[in-house]
Amino acid sequence: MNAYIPILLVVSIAVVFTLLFVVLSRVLGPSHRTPGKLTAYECGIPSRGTTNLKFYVRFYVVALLFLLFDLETVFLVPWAVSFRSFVERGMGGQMFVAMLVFFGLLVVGLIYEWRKGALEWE
Amino acid sequence: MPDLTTLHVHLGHYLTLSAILFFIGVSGVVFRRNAIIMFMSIELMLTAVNLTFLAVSRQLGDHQGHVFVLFALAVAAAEAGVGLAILVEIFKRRGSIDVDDFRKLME
Amino acid sequence: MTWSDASLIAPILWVTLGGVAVLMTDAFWRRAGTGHLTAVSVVFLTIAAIYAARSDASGSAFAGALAADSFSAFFNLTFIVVALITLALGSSYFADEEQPLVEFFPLVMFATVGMMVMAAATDMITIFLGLETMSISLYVLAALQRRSILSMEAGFKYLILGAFSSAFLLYGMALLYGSTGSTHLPTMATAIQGVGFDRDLLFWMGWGFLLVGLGFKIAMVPFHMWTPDVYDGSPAPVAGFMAAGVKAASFAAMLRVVWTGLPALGDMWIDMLVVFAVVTMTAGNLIALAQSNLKRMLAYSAIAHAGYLLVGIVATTPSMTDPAARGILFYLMVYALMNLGAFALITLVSSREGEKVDLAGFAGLARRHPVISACVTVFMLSLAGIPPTAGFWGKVYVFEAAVRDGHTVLAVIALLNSAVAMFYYLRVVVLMYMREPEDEAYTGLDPQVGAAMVVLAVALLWIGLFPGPMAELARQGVSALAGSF
Repeated sequence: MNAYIPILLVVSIAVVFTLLFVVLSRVLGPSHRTPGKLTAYECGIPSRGTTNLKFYVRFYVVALLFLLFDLETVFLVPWAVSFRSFVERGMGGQMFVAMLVFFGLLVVGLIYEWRKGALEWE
Repeated sequence: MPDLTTLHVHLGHYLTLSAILFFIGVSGVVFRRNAIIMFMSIELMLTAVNLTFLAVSRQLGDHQGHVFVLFALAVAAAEAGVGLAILVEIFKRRGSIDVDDFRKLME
Repeated sequence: MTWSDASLIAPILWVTLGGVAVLMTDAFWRRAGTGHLTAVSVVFLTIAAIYAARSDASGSAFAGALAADSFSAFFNLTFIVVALITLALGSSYFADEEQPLVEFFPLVMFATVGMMVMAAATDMITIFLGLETMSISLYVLAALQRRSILSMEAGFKYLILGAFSSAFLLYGMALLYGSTGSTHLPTMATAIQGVGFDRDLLFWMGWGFLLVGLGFKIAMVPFHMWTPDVYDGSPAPVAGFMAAGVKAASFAAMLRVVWTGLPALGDMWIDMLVVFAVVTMTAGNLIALAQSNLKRMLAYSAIAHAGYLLVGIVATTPSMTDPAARGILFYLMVYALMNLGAFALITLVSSREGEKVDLAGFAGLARRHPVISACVTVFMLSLAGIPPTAGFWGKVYVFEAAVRDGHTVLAVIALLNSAVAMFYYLRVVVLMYMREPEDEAYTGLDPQVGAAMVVLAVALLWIGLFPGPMAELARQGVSALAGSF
């Protein structure tokens, strides 16, 4: 436990100094609030429109598809981690086939998306 | 300052925490009317359950709980995917995701 | 995964393969219509049915996660029959020249896979997986009619409440895992018998949450609120599929849990189930009386039937005997058939736009379509439990078991409920035969749906006249579980 005390010290010093500078600049610094200063900084040109933008709906579809395929990898990692021990017990072939089946089903899903045009970007 | 070395976290703490999280989720589904927030509350409930599984699994030194969590995660993602897809379609048509506006069925 | 594992669950694999085949047909054959997709689905379902019927192999697959026994074989056949009839109802209902809703076919196949997994599951993980495979497919199916806001809302409502109940189910499973130390049902049973959980809060909370989660799926009062709205908003063939399939699958999982997982539980929770059974059937029947919309009426009738089935569960636990337990399986099969019939009627008279089907709309149907009216009469008599239809025997087996198990009062309440229910079922029949039809009503009805109705009606009459073979099948189905404790 004692080994962590230096880290704790570093973290607390960082927090204290950050807070200190924020508070000091707020208290001591001059404050002239003009409309130009209060607008959001967009590379120096005057900003236009609201920040409450509508996103193109394609982003949403891609995000959904990504979410599903992303989570399927959840099953891949434990399989990879324990694969060696299965090989040692002579079950490597079976486990490989099992993962192939799983992957096959994923590929079927991907092919379906592709053929149905869900992957087209216009 | 309490001595950090003796501050053990027991199974009971995990179970209590997950019970609290679970019922925060339940109250979110029951009391909030925004469909997205209801979704998030359901996800919170599932996360709480996952915490229970993991805590118990660790306590027992058993892997079944871990396996259960992986499946629960994948299922939750699939559910969210389908739910958000339906929700977008409803929003396109209705311009609102407040479930109190979903009254067509209640006539 | 070994070859023997795969061969034990061959029916499930064939239906899965069928779902994939339908997906790929749809993806690569642009001109494939609903007819082609139906054909592909039917081929694979038939192969699965042959495997399910011929399977004499029994054992447990995937390290105890799934069981292949006569119980799962019975339910596999039930689900395949339900899926076939649903496809018959849906294939023309969803066939639209511009935009056929071809997603219907793979989704029905995958939902069927989920149901089959639920009936075969002997581990809480597989129960959960089967339940979710079924449910997620059904959320999409309910919301399939994108033109109808009603359908979208039904799908969303079903999803929110379904996910909510799944979370409860999952929490219950987590707590049971925590208190028994396993997710494998037989191992849990051993742990319960060994230790006894009389005062274990964790265990009872877990069991309670599990019951709440399953109660949602079988539409047990007070967890039934979603049923009328979802049935009402969903496309008619999908509502029929839900009523028949989801109920059978959820009861199958519940029976496995109750009979093999947790047999050594005391009387306390049986008393609780008695209360649920009484409330469920009474509330369902009384509210059904007041409905003027046929879909909502059938939804409340589905709730009432869940109550009758709970009577069956009460009667067979904890001392399960073959003749008593077969009643539930018999009832589930028959209930699926007669409900599909009733929803076939709705499919017939409703359009894809999902308009409401008013009871008064059936006035005078008999003049125009005597055969269809005769079929509907059979379905309604069977739902009401009047001989010589199959529904009568379902009620006889279940209520008789209740009396024999000492729950006479419960059986009497169930009988009184059946008497009340007769009123609203027979009202449909009276409307069909005693009124004059309106001028433009019921032209151009779909012959395929009509044919499905005739098949269902004949089956119900045949089982009603000769209940023996089906009862024997149901008895074999439960015999697998009777030996396990």
